[in-house]
Amino acid sequence: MSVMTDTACSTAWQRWRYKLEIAKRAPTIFIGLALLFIFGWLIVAPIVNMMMEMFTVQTGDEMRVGAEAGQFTSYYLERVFSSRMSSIIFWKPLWNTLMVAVISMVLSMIIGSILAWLLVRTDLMGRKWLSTALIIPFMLPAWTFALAWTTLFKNATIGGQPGWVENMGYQLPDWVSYGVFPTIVIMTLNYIPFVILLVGNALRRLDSQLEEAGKMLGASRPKIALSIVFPLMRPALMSSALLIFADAIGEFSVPYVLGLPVHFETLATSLYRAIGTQQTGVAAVFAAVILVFGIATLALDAWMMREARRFAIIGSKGAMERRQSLGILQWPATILALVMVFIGVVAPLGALALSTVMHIPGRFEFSNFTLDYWIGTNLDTIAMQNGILFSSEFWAAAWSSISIVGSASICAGILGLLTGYIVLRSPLRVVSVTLRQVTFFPYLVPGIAFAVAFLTLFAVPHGPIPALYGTPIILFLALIADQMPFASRAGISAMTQLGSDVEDSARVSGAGWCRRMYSIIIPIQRNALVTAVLMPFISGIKGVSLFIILAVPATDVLTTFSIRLIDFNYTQAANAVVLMIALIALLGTIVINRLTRTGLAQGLES
Amino acid sequence: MPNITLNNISKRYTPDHPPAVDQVSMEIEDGAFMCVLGPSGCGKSTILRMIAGLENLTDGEIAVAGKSLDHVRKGIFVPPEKRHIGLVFQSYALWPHMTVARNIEFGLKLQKMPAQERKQRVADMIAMLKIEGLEDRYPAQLSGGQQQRVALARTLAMNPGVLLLDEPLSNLDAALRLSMRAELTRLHKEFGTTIVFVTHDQWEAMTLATKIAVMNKGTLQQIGTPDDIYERPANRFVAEFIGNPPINMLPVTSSVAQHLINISGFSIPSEASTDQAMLGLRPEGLQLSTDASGKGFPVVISDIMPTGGAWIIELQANAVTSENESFSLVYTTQTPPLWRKGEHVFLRAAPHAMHLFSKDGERQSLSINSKTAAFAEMKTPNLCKSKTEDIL
Ligand SMILES: Nc1ncnc2c1ncn2[C@@H]1O[C@H](COP(=O)(O)OP(=O)(O)OP(=O)(O)O)[C@@H](O)[C@H]1O
Ligand SMILES: [Mg+2]
Repeated sequence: MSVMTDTACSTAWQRWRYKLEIAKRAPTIFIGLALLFIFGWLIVAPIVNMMMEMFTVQTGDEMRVGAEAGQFTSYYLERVFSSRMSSIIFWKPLWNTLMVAVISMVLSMIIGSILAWLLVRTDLMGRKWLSTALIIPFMLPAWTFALAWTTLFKNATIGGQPGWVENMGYQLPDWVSYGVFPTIVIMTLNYIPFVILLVGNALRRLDSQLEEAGKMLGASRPKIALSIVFPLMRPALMSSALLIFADAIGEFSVPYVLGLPVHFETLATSLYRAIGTQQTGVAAVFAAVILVFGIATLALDAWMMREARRFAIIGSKGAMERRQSLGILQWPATILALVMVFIGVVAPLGALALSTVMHIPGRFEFSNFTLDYWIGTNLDTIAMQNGILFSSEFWAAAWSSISIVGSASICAGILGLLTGYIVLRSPLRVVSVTLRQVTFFPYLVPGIAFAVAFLTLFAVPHGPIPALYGTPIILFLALIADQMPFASRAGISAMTQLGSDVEDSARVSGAGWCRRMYSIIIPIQRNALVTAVLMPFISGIKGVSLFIILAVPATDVLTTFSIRLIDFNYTQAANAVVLMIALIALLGTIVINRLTRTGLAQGLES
Repeated sequence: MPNITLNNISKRYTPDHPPAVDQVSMEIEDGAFMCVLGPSGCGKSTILRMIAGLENLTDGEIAVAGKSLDHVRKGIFVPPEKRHIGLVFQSYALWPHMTVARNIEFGLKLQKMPAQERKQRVADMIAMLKIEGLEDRYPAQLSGGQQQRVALARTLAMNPGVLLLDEPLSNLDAALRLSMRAELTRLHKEFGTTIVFVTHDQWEAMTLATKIAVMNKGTLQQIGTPDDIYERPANRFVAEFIGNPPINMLPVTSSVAQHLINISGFSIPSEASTDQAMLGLRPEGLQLSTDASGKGFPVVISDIMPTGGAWIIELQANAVTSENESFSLVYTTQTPPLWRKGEHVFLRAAPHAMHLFSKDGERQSLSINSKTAAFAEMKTPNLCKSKTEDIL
């Protein structure tokens, strides 16, 4: 035994050398650094770059700005915020955005909370079936509903085929057919399932004994609701409200479909217009504004969640399942829920589905029905001469959708699991904290802003990387980056539950890193990995924002294909494509729910 | 077979907390059965994990069979997968996606053992640990005790030279514990494996170990044979931690302590005669009599608790001196007590049951008082054997 006589501590250099020796034997550090590099390139760089574009004279703008391209300028900021044009190009769209976001948030919170309470806390009839049915809209792209709306309520203002209602002989004013009103309705419908999931989950965890304790003390029902249930639910309510708000700020597809005909602009559609007219600098400013709103809202949410944790009463396992009897209210409540199912699911999907088998919308005569839009051939139209199932364009778009989104999701899923692994195992705290935050960052950035950021960075060659615009690669990369929040959340929560002993015991059994990954971690986390792949897949396949900016006709995917069909007024075919997208998303969700029993709600919360 | 050397090892998880392990040195000889004993959170698991290589050292050196596995100052680190040390985890850490048989087999596969031999080894382990019939179950379908045995089987199958066990018997019922204990002892004898066994059950440590290391708050308190630890506790913590019921502690200055020391023929060394110095009295080393002629200290029996074959008797000792000091002591006996609650009796203490601790808790020897010959009738005092030798 070599006795160590000196009692002084080892020197910093010695400790460092020892740590380096350890690091060499475990690839955790290197993988951590590699991940940091990848995400730095895919997530941080585009956004930083976009922020800089805002202050740089863009090529083509030299004359207007009066400076060389690449120089610093505040021209774009001035143009957006304080020029003669600002009220039209910025302040009005901003006002529209906020109005739509706030109103649809409030409405969906109210309706969603009531439904959540009915489903979780009362003896509502058929609640099991209803709780599935009411969630369905969550799995569908938001603009499915926008399309359904136009199918039903479109008027003659912009030509093309009118909606069912007009065809039945009723004149509809513009405000019903387009603009603020339908946008708010559709966005509200789209967010209700989200509220049901989040608030319902919180209600489920809220111990009904707490309510009963209040009752025993003689508190009246409204008093219990106000003084016990509401304060306990406030964190969940606030959190869902803020998440909805952040999402609504960046929502593009619904105002795009419903707002354009009456020149109803939001920040997202203005941004799209700016891109369409080559005003990259201005687009960057819009994107930054959306970004700031997103970050501010989610920062507020994070702060409130921390506050909420101080009185975490929730999560008692023995929370008793005690349901309130609705009594005489049973019928109105059931009817309310059924009406919501009808408005939110049956009507829009039914209308879309029916519209694809009708020549003239809304005319229910036998001769008017046709399967041409699905399986017809040699139709006498200018384009789309075949039904979509026989159209090579459709299959090409479907294939590129599935292959681009699919491969991006697989990469995102693997990166997500690796991120989870590194976040929990990295000996360097900095690496874990940074990774956790960086991968979550795209969540704060609305898809459309993110797409612009990607476009500004990758549209031109940078060093060894050629210009990627117009290639599937840019879509692939943007999808990975955009989906990392879901993927990394899934990875982190799976790895948190695993604990390190299981891997450590393989280590002492003599398994090296690769062997541990292959024989222990990945098999155990198989379901988590599938979830980490499917969640991004669903959200990618139904997403619009990234594709509409980054895809070109050469890289047509289902979403851009259907939007193009809308633009050309091939409504039936467009609706058919949208139904196919919805079908794919629905199938994915069913698989996830099979794999993880609490599935969606959990994925949303963690 | 290897011996393990821990040389001044320290582990600090977070800079702003005290270290989980603080400068621990010990030599675990080849073929030893070493028990690491200490209260919860004292750093036992941390030490095992450091030996296995799963926890990095903040300072110090770990060597097995003379080869450094960790050496902070020399920058040496051997990864756990290369150490060939068996570790049974406190949480079992079975692989949930593998059946019992595949759990046991996994390490053997990594060693590239031929399939035939592997099968045989797995079957042997399953028979040895009495988990027949569970081969095709998954860990989630096993009880805690069964999981523990599978974890043991998985580690033993590798036939490691060094076996680290983190509370491996904690989840077994009494009968199974006994048989597993016997199994471990047999294994230890048969294969000569060096075993480091973590437990907070002192009885387990006493019966199994060839050596015991007592830890508290990350520091090593004492290391020695079970007898050493029990009969010559190095400090107050060890004395109080070992023994059931726990040792009685009295201030040396109390009249009870003074009296008991005097009649045994000892005196208190001058440097220990302060208020904070304590006298420890093992409950089973006390003696009671109704006879005043034995010069015992008068006490009152305040409670008698039968505990199945043994009795715990609570005594109340009221001081004769000025202040109204009063001490309650515990006495245990295996013979049915002849006294009743409330009876007055006289208390003496066998010399080997008396332990003196200085005010900083260190063990101190009692000096022999030649004037008093009373101890002649008692057993030869073997207390502080080593330290009293110079006096004798
Ligand atoms: N990963 C860790 N990070 C920070 N502190 C830790 C970590 N692991 C252990 N500790 C702390 O180190 C101390 C020693 O822990 P250890 O697990 O070694 O105790 P133990 O003696 O095995 O206890 P038990 O008998 O309860 O198993 C404890 O105070 C514990 O809180
Ligand atoms: Mg432990």
